[in-house]
Amino acid sequence: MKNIEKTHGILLGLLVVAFFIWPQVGLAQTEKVLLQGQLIDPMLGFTGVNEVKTQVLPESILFESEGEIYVIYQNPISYKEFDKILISLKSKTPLRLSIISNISTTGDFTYELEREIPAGGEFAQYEIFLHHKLFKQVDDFGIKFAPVYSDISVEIENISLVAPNFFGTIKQAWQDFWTPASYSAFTVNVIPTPQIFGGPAFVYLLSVFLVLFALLFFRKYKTKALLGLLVLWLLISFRMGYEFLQYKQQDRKALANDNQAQDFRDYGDIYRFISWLENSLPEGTGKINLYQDTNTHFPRLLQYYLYPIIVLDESGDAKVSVFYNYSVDIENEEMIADYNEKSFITRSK
Amino acid sequence: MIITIKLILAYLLPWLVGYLPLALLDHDNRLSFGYKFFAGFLVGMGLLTLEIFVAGIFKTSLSLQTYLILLLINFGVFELLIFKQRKKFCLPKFKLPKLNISYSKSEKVILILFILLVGFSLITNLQWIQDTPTFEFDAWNNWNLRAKVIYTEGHIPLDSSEKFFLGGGIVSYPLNDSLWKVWLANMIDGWDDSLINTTSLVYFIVLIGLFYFTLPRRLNLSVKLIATYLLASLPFVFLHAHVPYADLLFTSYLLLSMGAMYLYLESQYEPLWWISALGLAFSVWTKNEGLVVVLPVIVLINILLVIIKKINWQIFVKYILIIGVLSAPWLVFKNIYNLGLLSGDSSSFALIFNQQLLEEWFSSLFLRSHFNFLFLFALLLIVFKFRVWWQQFSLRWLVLTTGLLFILYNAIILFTDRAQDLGAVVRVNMHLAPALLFILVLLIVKIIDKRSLFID
Repeated sequence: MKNIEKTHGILLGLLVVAFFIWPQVGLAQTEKVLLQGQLIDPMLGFTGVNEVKTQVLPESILFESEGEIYVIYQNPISYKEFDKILISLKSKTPLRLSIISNISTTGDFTYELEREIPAGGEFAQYEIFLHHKLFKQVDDFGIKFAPVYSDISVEIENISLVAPNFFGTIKQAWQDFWTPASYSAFTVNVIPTPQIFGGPAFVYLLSVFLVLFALLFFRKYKTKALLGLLVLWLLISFRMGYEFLQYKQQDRKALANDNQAQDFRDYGDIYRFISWLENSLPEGTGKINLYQDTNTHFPRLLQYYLYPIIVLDESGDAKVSVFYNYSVDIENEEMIADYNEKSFITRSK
Repeated sequence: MIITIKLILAYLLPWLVGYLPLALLDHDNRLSFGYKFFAGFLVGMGLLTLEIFVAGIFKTSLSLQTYLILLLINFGVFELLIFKQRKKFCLPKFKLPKLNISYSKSEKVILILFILLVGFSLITNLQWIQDTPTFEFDAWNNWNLRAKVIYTEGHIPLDSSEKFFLGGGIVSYPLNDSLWKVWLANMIDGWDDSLINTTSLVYFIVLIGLFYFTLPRRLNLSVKLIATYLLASLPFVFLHAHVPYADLLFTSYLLLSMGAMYLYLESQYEPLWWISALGLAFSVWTKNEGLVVVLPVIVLINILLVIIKKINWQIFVKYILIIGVLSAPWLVFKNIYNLGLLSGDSSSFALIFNQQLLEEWFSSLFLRSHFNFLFLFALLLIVFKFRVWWQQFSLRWLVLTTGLLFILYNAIILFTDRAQDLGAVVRVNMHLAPALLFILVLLIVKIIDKRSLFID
């Protein structure tokens, strides 16, 4: 009798849950198509840092440019209305895709709204969740395609906005929790993730924590509560371990000898340059004049690596000058070695 | 291979010299070998770099020979003192823990898991150190820069008008970490970031080892292993295990000082009092927070202990003397050269409320995963289980000291103009993480209150 009652109770509970979530599940996904083949929403526009060539193909539109391309939707939206964007595309070259809120004003973006797009011959669909504080209410947004190298050639088949539903929200929360920050976001002072919907993930786990904490005060439940807290700790611990492994993997890829193109964190290729410089400076060099305007930290970074060679600034009196990412005519200088066309070593004649 | 052996020797020799004074202090042999093992590294490192600093300010060359001579002198002096005390010389007897067959199944499982998880994090960090260049700002702008300059020059640059005075970088910072790296470079005969930076990993190992052996001995293996894993798994602590900063070292010294003080108040075993003084003195020698934040708080608390007659004033005076003598070389030098108390201009500060930082500060410490949910959990437990920790005097001391340090650290950030942003808030609070976790473990053990948590 007790078991039957228990079963009835469980079934009733399931019905209640289903009653509340069914409307969410039952409704077909509401979509707003912004681009489908040759059909383009009138509020959708395109622009680029350099000239953007477009070609209308039977099922898609091809965009090519020597720089970033922006697809801009000039209509207000909110994540309560549409919490996901689907983009179906294929790209000849690797690129970085970012969704930027209020692109015409503040231009806000975050790592959760970025994707790395590999080069490939087949169309692939990318979904980016917009349930984030940056999309609480925006006047417009942009999809930025940034080249990893220099050129972009991307074919877009479909861009759609999707209305929120319960399972989609849960799915986003789970994905958000496990998404590590893009590489340069962490520092020795802060670890930026995990986040859910743009805020600290622990906020969503707080209720679980507080319940377990409260149960510590009850003799009957305190041991189980402690075990629960340990499980919660382990979950967060493993999640952070996953984060660090991602960072480590990124570091390894960036510094691999055969990967000249990948930046190391947010310092570009400075470490490759330093390594080259250490082997290329003439023997007996005591000091150098450094010409660079890429990063204000770089002179001190170079000083650390090159010491005892003294690194002076552009007004220095050294005979040897080092140029890093610097466009200049070197009339009274003799070229000693070059890293690339904007980074080289000279000696005064 | 030879480089690896040299690097191991570089850690082993100072450790030996640090172990001996602890063995000397531990006249009744009541401190565990493990405790002396990990504390010995911290003491040996601090003594060596302090002595080399004194040698350096008298313009002695900081060559390998100088370091080795100092180590030899230390070794000789301590062995003589031990001989005088015990009528025999002392060499540490390495004791690997027996894999006792009387451990329960669950203890064995926890032990294996602990080894796997912590071992994995050690390997990961070691690889990370080997694979990546020195990237963090204060590493190449201060800690490593000073070490490299001093190593390259072979002496401490003492001309304050020169760009590389004291090695360059932030001259108001003490030189413990930097002079240690000079020693490493001397031993491996060259400056190699991938080897020098392994010292951060060693700091991490020492920190978790010291934590384990500071936990009350009456706790069983499972509890101690789980507690130690909780420390090792703190994300921010893990991150700093591969970052060549001095924060993890400072955290270790602070744990040494506060942990030893707690154990002294528990057991009244006097050597622990002196070990606490050593830890505090070397924390002053490691980072400015030692002098400006930690020293005043711990001294104040200890004055209160004298007033309520928990310790006698003679012991307190000796405590201050030890700290004074060990801190004097650096503090006197700092004063003569007018180096300032903190980095940057510390001539004055204004009291203001940085309201704009409050939300981010709260989020950083209590909601983000820098320290998992340690800070929130510990704070709630301290508040709701007030009577539990208040009843035990040693725990009361620890909670009050940690609490005061927490208030002071964060008040400087929230209520003065010293911190323009929250750049350092997580890093400085990391210094308190082991003490906070220690309190948390002790409170939980009291709450759960099961015999199975203890050794019979």
